[in-house]
Amino acid sequence: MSESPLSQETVHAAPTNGLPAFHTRIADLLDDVTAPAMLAADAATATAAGVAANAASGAPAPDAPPSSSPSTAVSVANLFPPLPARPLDAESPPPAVDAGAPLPGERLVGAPRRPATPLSAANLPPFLAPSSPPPPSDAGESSPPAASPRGEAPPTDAVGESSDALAAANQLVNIKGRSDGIVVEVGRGSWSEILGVLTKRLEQSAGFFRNGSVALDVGARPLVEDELRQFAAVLTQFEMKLGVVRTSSERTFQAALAIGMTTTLESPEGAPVAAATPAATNAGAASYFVYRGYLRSGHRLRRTENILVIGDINPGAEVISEGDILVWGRLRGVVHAGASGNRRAIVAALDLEPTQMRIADVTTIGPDPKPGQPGRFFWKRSQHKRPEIARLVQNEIVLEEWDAARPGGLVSLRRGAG
Amino acid sequence: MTGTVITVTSGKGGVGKTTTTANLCAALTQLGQRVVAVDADIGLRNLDLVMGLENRIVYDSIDVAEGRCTLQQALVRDPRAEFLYLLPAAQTRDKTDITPEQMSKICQQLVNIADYVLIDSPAGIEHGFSTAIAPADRVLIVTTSDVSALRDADKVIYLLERDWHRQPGLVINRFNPRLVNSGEMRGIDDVLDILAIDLMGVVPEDERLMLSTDRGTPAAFDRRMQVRRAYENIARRVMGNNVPLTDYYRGGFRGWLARIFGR
Repeated sequence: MSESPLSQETVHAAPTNGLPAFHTRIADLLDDVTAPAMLAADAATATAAGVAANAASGAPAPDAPPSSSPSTAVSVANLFPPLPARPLDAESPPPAVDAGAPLPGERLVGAPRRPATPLSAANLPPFLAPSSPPPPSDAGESSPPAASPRGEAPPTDAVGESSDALAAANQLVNIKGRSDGIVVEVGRGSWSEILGVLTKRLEQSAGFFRNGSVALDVGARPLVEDELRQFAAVLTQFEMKLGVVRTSSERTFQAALAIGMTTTLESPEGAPVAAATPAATNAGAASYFVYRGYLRSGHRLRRTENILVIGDINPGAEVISEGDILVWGRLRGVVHAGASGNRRAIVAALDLEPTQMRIADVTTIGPDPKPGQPGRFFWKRSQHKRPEIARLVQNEIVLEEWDAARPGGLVSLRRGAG
Repeated sequence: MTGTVITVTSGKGGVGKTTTTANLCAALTQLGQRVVAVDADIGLRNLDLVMGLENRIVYDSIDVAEGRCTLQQALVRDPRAEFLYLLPAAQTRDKTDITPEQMSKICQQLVNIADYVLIDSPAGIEHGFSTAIAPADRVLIVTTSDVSALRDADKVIYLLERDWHRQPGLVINRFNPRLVNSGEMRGIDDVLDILAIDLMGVVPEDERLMLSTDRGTPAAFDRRMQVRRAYENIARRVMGNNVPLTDYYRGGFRGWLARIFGR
């Protein structure tokens, strides 16, 4: 219960230990920066390298557009293998030093959500100076002490405002330059308020971020498609683009997918749960989306890929896939496989007792409770408890136990598909 | 020294949040803890009635939030206990009159003087729920074993995990072993099967509990009440002790004896 914030801290504190190396090697690294296609940073490689080289040598780069720095930072991060103490072994991508561009999804998974970088500002190359807010102290932006050698002040310094108003604004919108790009974190508050503050701060930054690719970190806040579109529109207005949406809310994840953005879904501790690029680049039906944990009442999981749930689907939850739905656990909610009309989709579960099951356009409902007995779906553990597979055979959903389905089943699967 | 803020919630109304809060507070004070009960059910306050402190209320939490009085002035002391205070809710105001931030601020002050701050959450999952959950270090979900309570508890757990990143503990209230034994009602295992969270305790159904609630004497203060054992066990588990679960299913003399001694 109470440990979750704690563990979050430890998770993020862990990756610090690679940083000395980061410093000593940053100069070499910057020379051979390759086109960082990963984080949708498509700024010109040449300028990126140029700026970075300038920056590393400590000289301000007044002539080159400073906004290409995020892409540089990304590639720096790429050149490093995942840092040792990272807790997500299973999902972490291969180090990918020179293995060509990994899949966009994988790259995003690899990026630590909040690289805690307790560096002194003096050690930082200038283009990273406004980054590194030690712990996320929202109250006051720790303006880098005396570290604004460039002509234009970093936007975080936003001069000319009372510190109170600034702190309030920073709670709504927090713009950070991080090792993996510009990150905009939004706090609580109405969306229009946030957009207002963002607009204002981008105006103040006077084109500092121009051409930059932005990662939007919305935390647990659920967003709808329109809100994301508005956000992207504000960025476009300042010649920036929305690269990736990070969220721990399933709703936002779906919204971002729906309007074709790259997005990552992360658990509250910052561990990636899923990453996805828009369906155009992701051959949907062939891949699996794995959900670990309980899907509880009110939870709606909708994906284009096949879905594998390791855990239970409780009554009141909805799972919708354009492919198959497999459940390693109890299935007692509402499922819809083959939602786009795929009649070959199947539903399989260790304990298949859905409230309602749909495959393509065919629907079945669970049997009504017997009179005198409490409702079936919240009743006891089911009596037979055998894994079952449901599929369409001639416009009807047929349930078969897995061992009955297996020998002839594979044949009948083919037959049933016709 | 800082205490722990525990919010008692359920989703569905009428499952015994307020009764559980009052009795858990009483049980914790009897175990020597310093406790403050906070009623977050603004506009429909009940906790003061169940604790029998209604006539002592002068100020309430909204007065504190809006700065009309100090926190010390608003706290109502329970004369039956060493250190048990109630921070009452306003009856004449609305749930939207206090923000989650204000509630958190009040609780930050309270944990400096108390070991445990228990917040009685309103039913539902709207603004009042957020207000009650925002300051919580831990959350207790109270549920009975009927369908609607379980469904709502499931939804609340989902919300807690999604929006608040909290893993709650479960209290099964009004548990009736007789109906379970006759196969007509869900047992503890079935409930845990569905909700899949840690069990903090089981409170058996007891009609005298309703009467004691009505009189304003928490059962935990009443030595004649057997059910007070159940609350005492929950309180011990909240404090981190390992207390075995009472076997409510066992019949006969030995089962009766075991239940009397709360084992």
